[in-house]
Amino acid sequence: MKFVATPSRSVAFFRALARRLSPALFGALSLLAVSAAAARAQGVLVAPPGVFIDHRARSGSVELYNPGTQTVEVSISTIFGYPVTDSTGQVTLFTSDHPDSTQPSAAGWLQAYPRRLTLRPRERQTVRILGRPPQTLADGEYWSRLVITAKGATLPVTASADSAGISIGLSMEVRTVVAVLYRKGRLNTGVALSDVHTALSRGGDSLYVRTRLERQGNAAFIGVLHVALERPGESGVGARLAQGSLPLAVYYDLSPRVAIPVVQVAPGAYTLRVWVDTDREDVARELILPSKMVRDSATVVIPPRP
Amino acid sequence: MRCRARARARVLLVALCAMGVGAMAATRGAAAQSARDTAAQEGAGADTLEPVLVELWLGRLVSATVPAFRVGDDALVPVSQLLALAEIEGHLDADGRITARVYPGAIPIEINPDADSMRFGARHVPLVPTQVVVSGGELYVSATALGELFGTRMAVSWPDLAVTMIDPAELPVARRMQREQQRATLLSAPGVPPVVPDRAYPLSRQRVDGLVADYAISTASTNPFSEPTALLAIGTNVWGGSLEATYSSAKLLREGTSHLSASWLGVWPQGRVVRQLRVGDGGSTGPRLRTLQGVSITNAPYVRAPMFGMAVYPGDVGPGWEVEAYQQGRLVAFDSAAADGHFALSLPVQYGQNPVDVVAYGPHGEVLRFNRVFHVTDAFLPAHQMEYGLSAGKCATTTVCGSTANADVRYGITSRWTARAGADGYWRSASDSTSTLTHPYAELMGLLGGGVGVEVDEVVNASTRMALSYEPSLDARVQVDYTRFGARAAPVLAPSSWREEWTVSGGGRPFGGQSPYLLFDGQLVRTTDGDLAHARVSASLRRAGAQLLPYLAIDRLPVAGDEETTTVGGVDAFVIPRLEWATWMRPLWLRTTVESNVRGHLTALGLFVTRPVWRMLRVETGWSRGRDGRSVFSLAMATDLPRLRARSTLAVPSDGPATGVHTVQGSVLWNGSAHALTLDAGPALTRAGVTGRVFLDVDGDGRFGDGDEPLANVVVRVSTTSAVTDSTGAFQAWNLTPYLPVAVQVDSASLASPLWVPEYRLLTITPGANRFASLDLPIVPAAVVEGLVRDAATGQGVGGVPVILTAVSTGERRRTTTFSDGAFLLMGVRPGVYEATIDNAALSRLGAQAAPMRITVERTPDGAQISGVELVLRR
Repeated sequence: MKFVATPSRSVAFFRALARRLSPALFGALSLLAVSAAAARAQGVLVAPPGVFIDHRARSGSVELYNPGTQTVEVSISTIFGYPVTDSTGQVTLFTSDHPDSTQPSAAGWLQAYPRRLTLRPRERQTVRILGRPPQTLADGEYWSRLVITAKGATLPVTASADSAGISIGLSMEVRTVVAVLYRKGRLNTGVALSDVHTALSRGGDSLYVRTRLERQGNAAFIGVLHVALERPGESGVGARLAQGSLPLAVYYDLSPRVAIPVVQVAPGAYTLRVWVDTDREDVARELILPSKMVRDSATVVIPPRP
Repeated sequence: MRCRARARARVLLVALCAMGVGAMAATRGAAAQSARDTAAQEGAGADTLEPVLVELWLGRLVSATVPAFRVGDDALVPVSQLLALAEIEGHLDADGRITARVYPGAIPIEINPDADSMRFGARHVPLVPTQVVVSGGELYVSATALGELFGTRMAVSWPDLAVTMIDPAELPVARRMQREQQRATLLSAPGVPPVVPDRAYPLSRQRVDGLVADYAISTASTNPFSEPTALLAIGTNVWGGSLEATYSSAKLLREGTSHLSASWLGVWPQGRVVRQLRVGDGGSTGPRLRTLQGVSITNAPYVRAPMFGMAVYPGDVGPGWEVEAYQQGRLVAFDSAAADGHFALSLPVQYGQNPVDVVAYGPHGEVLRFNRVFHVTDAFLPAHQMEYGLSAGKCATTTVCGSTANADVRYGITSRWTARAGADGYWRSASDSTSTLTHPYAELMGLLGGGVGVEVDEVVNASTRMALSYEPSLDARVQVDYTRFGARAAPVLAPSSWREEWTVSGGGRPFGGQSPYLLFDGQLVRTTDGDLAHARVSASLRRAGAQLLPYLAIDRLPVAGDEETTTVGGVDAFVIPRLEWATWMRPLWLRTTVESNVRGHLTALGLFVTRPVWRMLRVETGWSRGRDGRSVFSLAMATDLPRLRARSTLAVPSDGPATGVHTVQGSVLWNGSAHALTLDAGPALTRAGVTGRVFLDVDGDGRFGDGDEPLANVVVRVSTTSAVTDSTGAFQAWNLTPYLPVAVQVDSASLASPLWVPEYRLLTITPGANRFASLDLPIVPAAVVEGLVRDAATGQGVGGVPVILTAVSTGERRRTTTFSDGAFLLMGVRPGVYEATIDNAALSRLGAQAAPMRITVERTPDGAQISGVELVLRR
């Protein structure tokens, strides 16, 4: 799971854009949108980046903070979504306004309180998320995304003599998407790793590693994908010539791509090690479901460079 | 003059015409001629100079209409008027040379029309002849060049006829206006709103309630069961007061020294005549405390409020200066100096040290900073406050006196002067030659200006004392005391052989800033047997992660008609753990001591290492050698558990058997409301607690009963601590100060549903000693109210409209403001009938009316969602 702040005019707009544009171009545009938003628009900071709700408590919370100099209006809604990978291995967010009954959606029965609010500059506000699941909810993990939309607020009509009714600030909305995982009963998770394959970049300076990850159990797997290139016949940290990692969450399956720099690696045959563990630094230890580390390896040949 | 004014500039032009544009034009005509002359002499093209009137702005702070010259796109602006606008003191001589100084820092500005550059501090900016003109006794300089000189940009807008310095933040005028804004904020800020609890429970006076017991048992390793020493203290609450008894025994199981004491202390926090009454073992009243068995009564509060009051700090700067006072970085007072330069700041002062940073601003941007300390000791009383104390009883130490009494009165004359008077009486056995002694006394203490304090104390037939203290800042303090003792002073007041005593103490940073803090103290006592003297100088400095305390001490004692002088010097060092250390070393705390006499012989040596082993266990081991040459290896283990404390020490001397001592101590608390016994690390005697239950008030009667749902895992804030409810909704918090109101609040974020709200936002309760005060905390299911303010004519929602929800029964009001689409939302609305209205000021501003709407919030277990509240604006 990649907890990312994704500002846009609307989620629907982004989804439509994603369908029309190539993944790489979409990713680049998303990054541009983030930096442009940071520079020009006025969003809110949201913490934590993911919310875990236990069925016994039925509620969680996020904290909003307005770091800007203008008052913003914030509205909070829920939508069903989970990360997927596209044909190039990029992780994107799949969302659905109308998930079918087989999908573990919590979007329909999670509600934010308050769902609309005004944040003055430097002000913070806790937003509680309350789950009202159906009585017959089976054990398992249910997913949703909080969509937090911020835009410039309207000045109060009593603010000053000549500002009545003037709408200030932004024509741009800034949206932040936060994952929500609602957990009930006994949960278990794991991940199966298969189909490790590699490709060299066109210039030969990067090695792209793709693998297929399939979730096991009844809850999303939260962990990190690691890849390392080692001298043949050796293993361990000392033998590593290049390595990379990718924090991820496997809701169903992913085929992510990790690039590791091999520009300093001499031509020859090497051992590529791939493993997935739950060693996430950005998520509290007690929130990560235990799971065994899985690993695989392959032989990689770095050809002489032209 | 070409007036290409637009918009605002047109207004300016009209104003100029009204002022008499003919005269202006004539003046400017002459000025222009003169300017052309000067420019011609300097080589500038005379026909490029165009006299104009511009608005000279410093940011958006201040502006003035000034004559100027246009040269292409640039403007030559009058420098002396620019400096005057910026509140910079300068001098313009007849040749057009300007010298000025910018404060703070007294940074010089020099502009000479005959030179090829101008200077502002270390910054030199080239000046070409076309950028400078002297005309009509004024120096005109290019705005572009002046921008470079001041390190900012000067924007010239010919359409607006305006020249603007973009960033004037460093100029004195900007600093002054920023200060004025801060002061306006100080004056207009509502500050911290007074905390008004929804309900305040006073001190409950029951006949008997609560029980606490403190215990401590120590045993020696050599014979652990035969000679344990023990202390047992039991307290309960009787008629609101603390009844307590303490038994201590040096040998618990065999006959040994034992002591029993008991007392009852009644406290009336709001009493006017009596606030404390103690019967039994306790302390005397008056300035010279002694233990007695008897009665004491006073109107002094049980716990003195930390706030002392307002104190006036006078001083002198110069005429036109402004003075500000800051406490902990917050502006708390300001004043403007009078014509004679005198100012007076009225500052909030608490008991203890009150450091105040004072900043004085001169009329031309000068800045003067200094700090002062107001040290208000417990001996002072606020102005016009009087306290008395009366006590009498049997002396606890009968060798000093048989019985004693005291009558004492203290009065705050002003906030700086307090007077005290009274009498101590001592009765001794008839066989004693000094059987009865009465010592009337009077004392006057004051705080003079400049950090000077003075005390004068006369005890008739006993002593005369004078003390002078000087504490101008946190980095300097000194106090000198002189006492002359009478020959017939009661033994409790002074040793019989003492005749005079001088003491001096103080400390400070002689080199300021981060330099070592020096401490010194000295004492000289003249006795009938000779002189006693003691002096010690020490320093505190931090080097390489260690706190070093070097010292030098001299002691002189009279010995058999002669004097013996001992001089030693040493260093105590404390090494504090640092992150860059290896992992295994990080938990280590090291303490060392080295001491030597003047002959270079080591007189003391020691090294101790402390390390936490587990979360609640701490181990200290070390080795030391004393002046007698004996070495001792020691090992100590201390455990701080939530329910008890334990400590074991083992000492292994070089010349004797090892000895060990084990101590266990803790407390037992009886919670009468919950009928529960609790263990605590203690001590618990004369402390207080709060207990209660948090529940969902389903039936709305405010009391826990059938049908109400106890709420678990709710955080309750009690004073500065917090407690969490158990499965029955019960909570308890202990170790509170009794007889003081304690704030109790439910942390609404810990409630399971965001639709639940505490019935009371804030409660206060005054607990008595040795017991738990009980209160219930009902939680009510509240509602979310959503609605819309729309314009009747357009049907559209109107944003920014203040909406008020008023409870019909209580008049309590909630406010919110509509979002940009006219919608509004209010959370936590308690059950009841409400009227939704629009703020009258907003209606007046909009020129509209809106009929109020009445809504009813029903009591439902899960809270209610009310939507569709619509307020229609009709013009």
